[in-house]
Amino acid sequence: MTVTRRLSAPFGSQLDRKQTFEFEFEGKILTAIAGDSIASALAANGHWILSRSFKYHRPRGVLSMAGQDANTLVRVNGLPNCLADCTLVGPGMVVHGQNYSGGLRRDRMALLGWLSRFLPVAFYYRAFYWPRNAWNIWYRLFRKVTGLGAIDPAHVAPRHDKQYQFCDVAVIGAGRSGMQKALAEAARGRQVLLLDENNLMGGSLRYTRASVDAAAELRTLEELIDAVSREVHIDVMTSAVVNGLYTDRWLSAVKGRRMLKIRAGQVALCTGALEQHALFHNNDLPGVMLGSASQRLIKFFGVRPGQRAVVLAGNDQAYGVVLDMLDAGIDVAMVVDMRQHVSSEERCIAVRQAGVEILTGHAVFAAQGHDHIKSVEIRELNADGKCHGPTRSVDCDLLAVSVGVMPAWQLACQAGAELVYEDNNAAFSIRGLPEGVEVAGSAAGVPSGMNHPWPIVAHPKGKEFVDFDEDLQIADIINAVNEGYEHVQLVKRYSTCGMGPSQGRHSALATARLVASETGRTVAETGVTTARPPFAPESLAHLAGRSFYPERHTAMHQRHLQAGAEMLPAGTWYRPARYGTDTDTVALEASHVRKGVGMIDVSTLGGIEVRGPDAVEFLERIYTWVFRKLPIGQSRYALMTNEAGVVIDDGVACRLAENEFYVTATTGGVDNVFRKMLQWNAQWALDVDLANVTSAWAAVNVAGPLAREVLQAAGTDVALDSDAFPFMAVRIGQLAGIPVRVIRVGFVGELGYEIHVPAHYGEALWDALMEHGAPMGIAAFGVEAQRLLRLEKGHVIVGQDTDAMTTPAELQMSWAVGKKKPFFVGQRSLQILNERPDGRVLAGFMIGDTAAPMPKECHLVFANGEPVGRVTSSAFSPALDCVIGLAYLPAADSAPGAQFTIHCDGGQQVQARVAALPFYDPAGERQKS
Amino acid sequence: MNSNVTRGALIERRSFIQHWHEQAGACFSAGTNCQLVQHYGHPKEESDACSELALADLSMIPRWGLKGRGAEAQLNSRGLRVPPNHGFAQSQDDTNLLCRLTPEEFLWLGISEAGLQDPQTHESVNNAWFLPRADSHCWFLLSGRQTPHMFSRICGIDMRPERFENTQVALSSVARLNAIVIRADVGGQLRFHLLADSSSADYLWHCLLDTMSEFGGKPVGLSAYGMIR
Repeated sequence: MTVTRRLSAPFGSQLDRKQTFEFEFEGKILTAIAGDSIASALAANGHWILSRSFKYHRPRGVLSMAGQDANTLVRVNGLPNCLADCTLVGPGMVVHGQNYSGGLRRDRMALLGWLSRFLPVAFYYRAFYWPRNAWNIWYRLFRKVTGLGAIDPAHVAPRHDKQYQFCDVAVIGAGRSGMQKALAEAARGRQVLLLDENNLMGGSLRYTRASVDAAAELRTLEELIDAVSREVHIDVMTSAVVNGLYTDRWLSAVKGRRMLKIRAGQVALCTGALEQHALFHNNDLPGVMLGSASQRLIKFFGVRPGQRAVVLAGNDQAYGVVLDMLDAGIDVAMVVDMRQHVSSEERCIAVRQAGVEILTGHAVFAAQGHDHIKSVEIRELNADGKCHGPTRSVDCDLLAVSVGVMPAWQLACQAGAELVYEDNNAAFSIRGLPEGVEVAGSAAGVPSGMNHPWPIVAHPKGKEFVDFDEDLQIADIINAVNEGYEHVQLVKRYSTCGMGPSQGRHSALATARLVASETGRTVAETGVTTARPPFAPESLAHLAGRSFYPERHTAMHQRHLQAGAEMLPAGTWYRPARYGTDTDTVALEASHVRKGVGMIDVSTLGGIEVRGPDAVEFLERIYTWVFRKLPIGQSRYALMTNEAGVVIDDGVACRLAENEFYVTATTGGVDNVFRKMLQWNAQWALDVDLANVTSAWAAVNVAGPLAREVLQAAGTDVALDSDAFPFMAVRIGQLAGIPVRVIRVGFVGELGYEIHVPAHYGEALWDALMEHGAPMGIAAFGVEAQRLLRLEKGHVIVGQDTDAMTTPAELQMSWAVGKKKPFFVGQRSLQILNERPDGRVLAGFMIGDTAAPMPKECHLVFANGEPVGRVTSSAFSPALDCVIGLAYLPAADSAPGAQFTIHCDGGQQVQARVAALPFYDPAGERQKS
Repeated sequence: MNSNVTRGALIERRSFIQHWHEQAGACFSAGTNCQLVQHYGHPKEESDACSELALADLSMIPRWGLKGRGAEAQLNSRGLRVPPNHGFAQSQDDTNLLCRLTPEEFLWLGISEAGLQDPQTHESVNNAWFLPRADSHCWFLLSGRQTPHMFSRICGIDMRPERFENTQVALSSVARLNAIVIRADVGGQLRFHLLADSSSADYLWHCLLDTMSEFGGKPVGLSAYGMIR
């Protein structure tokens, strides 16, 4: 017999019946109507099983039809864990159930349900750890069967991004109270952002039946929506789930592929209430759903949730459900009302007048069926709320449960408020909201009469599920308490109740009631577990969103790319590592510098202007060496230590005028150096101005025996001969028509000129030097060649050759520390450290065996079988034709000629010999030439 | 020091995103030692885009900074109208802008003055210190009614016209870069000047282009704003 499940209009308010299309579910082609959710389309096609439960692989179907439970998690077009009751179905969509083995309807793993008595709560905490190492075997099995959904590694998430949003008032929830609140605030001239997780405004007005006169409710809804739509001060944002409410009314919300970060002057929580389930045997069978779910199916999607229904009632709202069912042509076999008396409310009267059988003082003891409910067993409730007496069985294919609601308290809880429960009437309220946050409507509280105080019926065979996400039954909660976890927060963590995707929306209250009962406390005393963000599941794509990763390029960046440079990240900068991919590229670049002339882009070096009457005094305090007598037009090495005497940066300080210095710093260290400078001068209050001008200057280092010729050829008004422009001097002038600052420094150990120009001229400078240097054979060299060249010269790189303990003495740089200065940062610490017995020293080493493996940074140095140090730098030196490096050694063992052992990759041991620094040109004649 | 040198013919200064301009088919006009983007081949469309959402590179137009406790007096002595409050800009008679970033730090946009502009001659004058903003910062101009919406994707400041008033200045983060944002409407057209670290100009320019694409925004040359001089 063909069953017609679709209802004609006016049912199905969200459907566009003119558009139908096909989609695929579990390999079957089905038909949907535009506006259908996946779940409603499946229900219309008679498919009620959407997925399998996490632990026992029980069949699960529609529960809330509102995205509030994990029953409807499906895989859509390869994307796992999509909520089928919220996700609109689209043409050609491919949908699969989740968490099954073999088939959704015939899941082999469902056998676990038969073993449930052997798998009590937290069994995994105690099992599988014996015999010894057994866990290593078990976990492989568990990896295969745990987890919800399967990730497609090939899936590429479409673009997600983030957006800031601002408003005077953010109203969360566009139901009756939300719309009224928004209108009231807008009337005061305030800009309101009205958000709702549903795609249409109206909230429960759209699906519940608050009175017999459904038309009157519809008019109220239309009037409110019309008023909101006409109000210019209200921005409406539907399909937007507010997931977090943080300090100072900072809200996070997800809308489609966008995460919104909303700053609101005031927040009104009109989030409504969440209908709660009842506990009885097989309360998770497909066909058992919340009353509101059946109403949503009928009114939103025009789907008849069943042909013959039983309604389990705990309040008057259930009778509204019955009225809607009757309107939809559903045969309501019986209302099982857990209350002793039916109220005289108009809906109850209407149901009675419709001839529906109402059985008061009874409860559903069990639902029966395999893949779908076929009947319910009903028993009488005694005064203690327990079932007794004979069982009455009623055939049905739908059991709608309407026994209570709970405020949607999660956002209020995130804001710091407390959910208050009154044991005498099962009412809820919210208290303790921070300033600027308020609640309205059902979110503010649930009055007396809405909640049945004990909709819990234990069954000898169990399977009365408290938490559907984790397949937790009544016995699991009770066992947790009996294990000694009496606090509801401990019960949560021990049992994992409320830790699944639905975050306790339907289990928190039931758990609190069970814990209260077992511990002899009230529910109010027991409380519910804490609700934390996010309210609804967020995808990693949302969190990642559109991320911003700033990059810094020098003015010559394009030239490097055009020259085939392999770019190397250095913090946020990108530097040319080498120009080419041949194995000997670096050696060739280095050789070019040693024998001819090379050029490297050093724009990333930090640049700090230190200016003012106290500029010299400032440098005297911030750096270890002395600058007071440094002549104008000269530069000096500048070593910086922190309060502990540890080397944290180095550079060169150039005196441009009496009270003006240009100080360079390392690429990665300049921001910290500048911050430290500001921090110290905030205390010293010296009359000095500090400016980080790193990006304002582009710079190159032209190095090699022919460097002077290159500058000369480019044309300059700076006298370049050694007498006029000696080593470590600074000059200001022009080069190739460009304003320049030129520093004669030699990091690579050759005649060298560091040329600094305003950043806009950087590329022009590069072009000019390349052009005029061509006759001299100038070639660019990268960072790797520079590192090799400086190693040959024995220069350290702060950060690579130093660590968080390194002092100047360990670097053999005591010469860079002013002994007679009254103060510098770190001086006192160094005085103390220098009094201590010899520690370690950064020493140079050479390896004579050309066949020996190359040591790497952080390979250990051993002496007498004990680790005594480590390698910080090493490379093969073309100039010296052997491997050279730097390593920390005990000071006593660091004399030139001393032998030591380095443990290399694979445990290979290499003998090294301490060598005096620098390895290359020890007299420094080349750089001073 | 050999600082009193005779300047030769300066070769071109280049925009931090010169490469992009060239690839985008920009038509250039000559500026002071530099090239200015006139348009990208569609002057009419670019002009029309300015009222909706447009982005221009002003990085080759002069600007400088001055800071220190003597900065305000220094600016006053030059006859400039100094904004009384920090966080605001003051339009000058010639429509250029003087922005007060902090109580003692100023940013001048759009004028060249000998001695203050040249980074080589930044001696202190009465506790006022020159800052080479023309080189340390790129300078982009965003205009049109969609600009606040575009900013909402990359900046946490509320740039809606009713909240971020004309001449207001924000020191904030834009696409995770420290940035200066100045609202300076012209003829009722919503305009924002955006300045950020020059070394990240290429990154920021592409971020802006990407973000603007949602709103149909486009890059425009300076002729779209009538700024070619």
